[in-house]
Formats: sequence, structure tokens, C-alpha cells
Amino acid sequence: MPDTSAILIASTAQRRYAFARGDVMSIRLASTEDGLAGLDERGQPFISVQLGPLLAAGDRSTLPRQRALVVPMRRRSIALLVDQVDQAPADARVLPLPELLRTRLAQPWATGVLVSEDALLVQLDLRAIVRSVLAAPSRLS
Amino acid sequence: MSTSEFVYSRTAPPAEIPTLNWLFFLLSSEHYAILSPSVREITRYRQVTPVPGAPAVLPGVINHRGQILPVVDLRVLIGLHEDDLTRAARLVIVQHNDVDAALLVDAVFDLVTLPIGAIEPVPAGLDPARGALLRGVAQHEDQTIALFEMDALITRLREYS
Repeated sequence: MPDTSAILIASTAQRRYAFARGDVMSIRLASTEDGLAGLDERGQPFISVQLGPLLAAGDRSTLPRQRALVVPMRRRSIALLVDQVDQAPADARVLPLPELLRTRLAQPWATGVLVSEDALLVQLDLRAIVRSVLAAPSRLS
Repeated sequence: MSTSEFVYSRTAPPAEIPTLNWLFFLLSSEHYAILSPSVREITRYRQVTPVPGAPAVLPGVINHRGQILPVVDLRVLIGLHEDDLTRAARLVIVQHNDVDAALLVDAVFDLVTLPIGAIEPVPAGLDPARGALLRGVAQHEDQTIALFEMDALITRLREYS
């Protein structure tokens, strides 16, 4: 059985997504309203983005504090805010998206699906999401 | 193919007449059919896992017996009004050439054997984009049934954006 310890599950207000632990440098607590405080390794403030509404309209957190998935890029570090982060189930396995769907995605954000006994979750490429955010700052709103 | 969800036709014509077997189903309030050899199974509708960035015609995926299948909303593909799904909604699991998919339909009616000669050309007045997806139409129990051409349907899905 493949090692699923490298896969984490991010919960937004309405959905759950899988992602590779290697996509994030750290996971920290952050204010939902103000985002992740402090500066990144280059002395720049973090750019905080709610992951939920970025992926599905209306999926907005009601929690006062969230988890920030810190994704370092070349110039800036992005903090993707989610409600909760958990370990993937031990029986989980990751399968590719069907070709018919993968080739029709508007953005290359979904790389596969995580399948376990009681769940089917989309696996995200957080670095691809962050690249899109940096390329189109309007997504920050 | 699983037969648990529908009943074979009671009106099969004599064997010497060339026939094709079609699965009849409902999209919005219109009647459609696909050739039965493409149909692997029919299941009740169940929750679809949405995929971010997917077009409306491919709203997500399901896990069907360990296989991840894209769900195809045929109503979106042919431009029909998307009514709320009811308990009659079904997922028609199809395999056509190298494509496996779950077709979302509003209801499944029957498996019907039609003489090839009963298939009429697509009406000239039909929207050309929709007509291009059809092999023809047929009359069955006072209903006009639009008969999908699976090759055209898959090609349209591959081109859809």
C-alpha cells in the first residue's frame, strides 16, 4: 500500500480536498479576517487567500481563526486559509483524474482524486493554484 | 450489463429484421436513447464530487466499483433546462471506445429493440448543434425518441470548454 503520510486533507466550510504535504512549507494559525500575520523568509508580508471561495463560489469560512497553508514561491509566500487540516486515512490511495475531465479543466488545479473507504476527494496542486493567484491578483478579492 | 434497473422490451420484432437495442431515458422533459452495447450498468444517482475548474457539462467524478468516472450532464451538453434532480435520476455507466463515463439522466425508461428501418433522419428544423449529436429519431409508444450517436457525443465532450 502506498504511503499516504505525505497526503493531507484540507477542509473548507463546505468541502474537503487532498493535497501533498510537500506543497506547503508550514501550517500555521491565522485570523480569518486579517490573514496570516508576520513576514516570510524574505521579509515580505504573506499574501493570504481563502481557499474555499477560490475553488467553489459561496464556500466561505465562518470561523474566526483558520489554518494557513504556507506555500513559498520565488518572490512571495502565499497563505491559503482553510478551516481544518487532517491526515489522510491510512487506506487512502490517489488515482489520476479521468482523461476526459483532466483535459477540460479551466485551470490545472486538480491533479487526481484521493479514494478511501468513506471518501472521494479531489487532490489539489497547491503550487499551481498559487501560481494562478499570483498571475491574476483579482482572485484575491 | 446490469439488468436490475430496467425491463427488456416485450415488443421485439421478428429476428430476420435487422434491429438495434436502445436504452431509453429522459432528459428534462424530452426522450432520448443510446445504443445499449455502450451501457455497462445503471445506478441510482448519488453525490458527485465536484472538481474545481471543470466545465458544467462535466460537474465532477464518482467512484464506481473502484473506478473513477467523470459524470456527464447530458442536459448541459445539449442545452436543455436543468431541472432539480428527483429520485428518478440515474447514472448510466457507459464505455465507448476508450472512454468510460457516467451519464446523468433524469430517468431511465426501458431497453427497447428497434428495427433499423424505424430510424428516421434528424428533423431539418432541429438545432444543428443538437442534431449533430444524433443518429436519428424514432417513434415509440406515441413518443418521439432522439437517438444519440455515441461517437459524436464523445467528440463533443472532448471539444467542450
